[in-house]
Amino acid sequence: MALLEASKLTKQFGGLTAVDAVDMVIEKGQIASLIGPNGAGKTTFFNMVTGLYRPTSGKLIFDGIPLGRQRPNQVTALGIARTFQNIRLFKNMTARENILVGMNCRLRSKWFESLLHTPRMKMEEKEARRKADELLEYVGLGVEHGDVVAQNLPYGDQRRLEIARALATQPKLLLLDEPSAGMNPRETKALTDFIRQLRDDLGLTILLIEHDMKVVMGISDRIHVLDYGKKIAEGTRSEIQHNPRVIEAYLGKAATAA
Amino acid sequence: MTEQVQAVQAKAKAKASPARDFQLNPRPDVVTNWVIVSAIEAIILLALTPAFLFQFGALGWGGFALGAIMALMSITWYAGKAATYPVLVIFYVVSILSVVAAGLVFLSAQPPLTALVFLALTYITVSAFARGERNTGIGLGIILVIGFVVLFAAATDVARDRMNIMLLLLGLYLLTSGAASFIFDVKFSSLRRPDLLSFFGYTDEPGILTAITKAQVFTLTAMAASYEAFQRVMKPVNRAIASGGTAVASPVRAMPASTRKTATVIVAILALLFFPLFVRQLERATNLSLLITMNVGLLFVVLALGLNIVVGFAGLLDLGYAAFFAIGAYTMGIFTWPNLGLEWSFWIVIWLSPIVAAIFGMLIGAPTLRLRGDYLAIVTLAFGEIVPRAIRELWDIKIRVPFTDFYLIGSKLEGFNLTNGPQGMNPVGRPSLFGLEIGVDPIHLGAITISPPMQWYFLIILVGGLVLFAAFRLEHSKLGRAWMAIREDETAADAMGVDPIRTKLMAFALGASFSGFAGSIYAAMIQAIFPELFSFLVSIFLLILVIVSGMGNIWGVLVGGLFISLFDRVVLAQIVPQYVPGGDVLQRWRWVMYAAGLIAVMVLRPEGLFPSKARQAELHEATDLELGLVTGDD
Repeated sequence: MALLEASKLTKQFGGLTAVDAVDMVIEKGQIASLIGPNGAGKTTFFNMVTGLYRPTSGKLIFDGIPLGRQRPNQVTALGIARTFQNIRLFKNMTARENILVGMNCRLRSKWFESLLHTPRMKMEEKEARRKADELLEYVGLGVEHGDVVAQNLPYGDQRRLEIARALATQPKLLLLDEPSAGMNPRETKALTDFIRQLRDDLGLTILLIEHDMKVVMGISDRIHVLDYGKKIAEGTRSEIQHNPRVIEAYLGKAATAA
Repeated sequence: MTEQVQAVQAKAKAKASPARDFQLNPRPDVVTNWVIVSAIEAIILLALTPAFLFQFGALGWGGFALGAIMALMSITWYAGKAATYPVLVIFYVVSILSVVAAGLVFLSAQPPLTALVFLALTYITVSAFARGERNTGIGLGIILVIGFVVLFAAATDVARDRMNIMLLLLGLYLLTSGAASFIFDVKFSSLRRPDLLSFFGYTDEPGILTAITKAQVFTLTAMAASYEAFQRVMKPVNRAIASGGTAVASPVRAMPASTRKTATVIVAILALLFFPLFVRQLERATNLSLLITMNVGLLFVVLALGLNIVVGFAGLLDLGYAAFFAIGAYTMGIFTWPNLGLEWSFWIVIWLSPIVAAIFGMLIGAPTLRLRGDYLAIVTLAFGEIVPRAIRELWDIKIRVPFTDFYLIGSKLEGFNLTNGPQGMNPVGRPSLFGLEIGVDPIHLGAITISPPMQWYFLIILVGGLVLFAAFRLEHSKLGRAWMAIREDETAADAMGVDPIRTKLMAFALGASFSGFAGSIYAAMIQAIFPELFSFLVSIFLLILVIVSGMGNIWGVLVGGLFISLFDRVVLAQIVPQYVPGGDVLQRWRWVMYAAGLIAVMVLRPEGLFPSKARQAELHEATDLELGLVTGDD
């Protein structure tokens, strides 16, 4: 069953077509990768899915609900969470507060309940803090890092915290934008395992943009390739590895001729 | 263990001293702070010259000379051309001289016995500081101040004049050392010789400076030793108290956390209750009506707490916050002004004002929701100008149905008068309670009389407490987190499910409602409201309160706000003009002072005087790392 379905999805910025009539189907429980050279339109695609950009034309259906008109926070409420290419944590807030912000859209109490400290609000808040601690443990930060201000965390931990914050929104689909950027091979390996674990433990569907082919080939069930905004290939790992158009896009024409 | 460490340190010292090791990380920022402190000092001295001349005759030129020297020194110091030690020496001289002079003046004003007690207390206080026992020092200092205030109230006119001079001198002392160490976070002790010398490229130092250092060390050692002796004498007393029950050292700390919290709250409430009685003593002594102006100052703190929600929590720079203050005040005015015939009860309108202000908050919020940073600031600035202007014009409203002579509001001859325009609304309804008009009739409760200003004081404290309570609860709520997330990164917050539009609207509405509260009380208290009372300067003053105190930190805004606001309303507006000759000049220049203060804080301590803990820790770690003080591996 398709969780996310894009058909003829297009985004134009003035005369530039960043994403050009892309069709894509992402099945529930899949780990899918979106790859392509720089400027291929991968992040633009992400931004359309998460509501940051409005598609110029085409259709986008998530879990039976048409997307495209909702604002980012509404998309998040529907069950799509993301991380950013360049980490965008709330730098001056603690790790725990970052996660709690992610939970905000799932908390039901109103602001005046916070003023009055109603029993419902107190219970909800307690539960949220417990869950936040669980998430801290789950992504490997540990509860003891809960009170550390986000910008004082090491780089790798910041990436983990960003994933924890995305998980806190209780998503069905998780979009990861270059999660391994700036990591060393050992960290990258741990991350690959972690992404797989996320799918297995939580039953998440994951779509990731990645440049590191080791990660892509290591975990993807399905790989989609974009080049100049167009989708040039789709398939399993081995299909993509041997696809002449993909090799051309990455290495130039000479490579295919040779 | 500690002995070993000491031995190692002593060895290191012995090693370092002959060669004067300049490899210690020089900290030019500390030196720069001192340059600025001395410059401020110089400006104050020069500004006070007329007062000195008036009071002390020719001796006043001494003050002028000192100021001029300091100005010159700080300029050359800043340019890096002058030796630094002379300036430091002047610092010491000014501070010590002013203390000594204050002591002398005091001696001549009071019977010697009292004076001796005070001098001894001062000595012990200074010794405690010298020994590094800060808490004891602060405690003793507070006793000193209270004692002085009591004496001041009891003194004769002649004595009081002398005491004024003494106050001036003590103030000078505070400025020299206290304010410097507090505001700029530099202490005499944190200024190390290698820093200074290497900052200006000295390779060795003149002999006289070594002598001065020796004298300093000697004095401090003597003080510390004598303090210790004093403590030893007091030991049996301490022990006697200790044997009576819990340890005397920390009876507060021994309490369980919840008890301590309750105790703190009770003490705070008692202090707040008795504060006006204390102020009344001061009023009797000074012949000023302090509590009335103090009330206005307190209201400004309430306003600052509201503005802190908008600016500090949600990060929305609002340059027109006074508009909501005006709306609150005019809501009170419109509903209670006899000429309009509504004359609702104060107790109803005080709840209506925040609602009206919140609605206007949302109205101004709505068009600005898509704006960020500078653009938002400009729109709020415009709104802050529109409101008082509209109030000024809304006294002759005529709305005619087009093409007819039928007027919806007003008539052909006379428009509808809503706000009474530039003439202002007077009188605004006063609250009444059990048949008594608050703010007019004194309330008698047995032997205690609660005077009208005191009644306002209690009302303001009540509302202030409410606002403070709300601010604390909101800070750590779902909404508070959403505000901070928006402040940190709006796009990311949006992507994480925080609705920026709703969140910002809530900030505007709640911030405005606090202001509406304060505005309605203000209107009823001062009785006559004019559009000019809510000018741009009010918004700026509130911003200064929030930014200088420490944006986003409620305690910071509370303490800093009280400090600045009461300084403005009580010290500058009342005490200085009456008691300091030439002080009216200082008052006229207050906006220059505040602006300079704002600049100084932004440059030297951008997190504000009382920053939130997280931010402070962060910034300190950053500077320590930059300066190589935290290396980690050695």
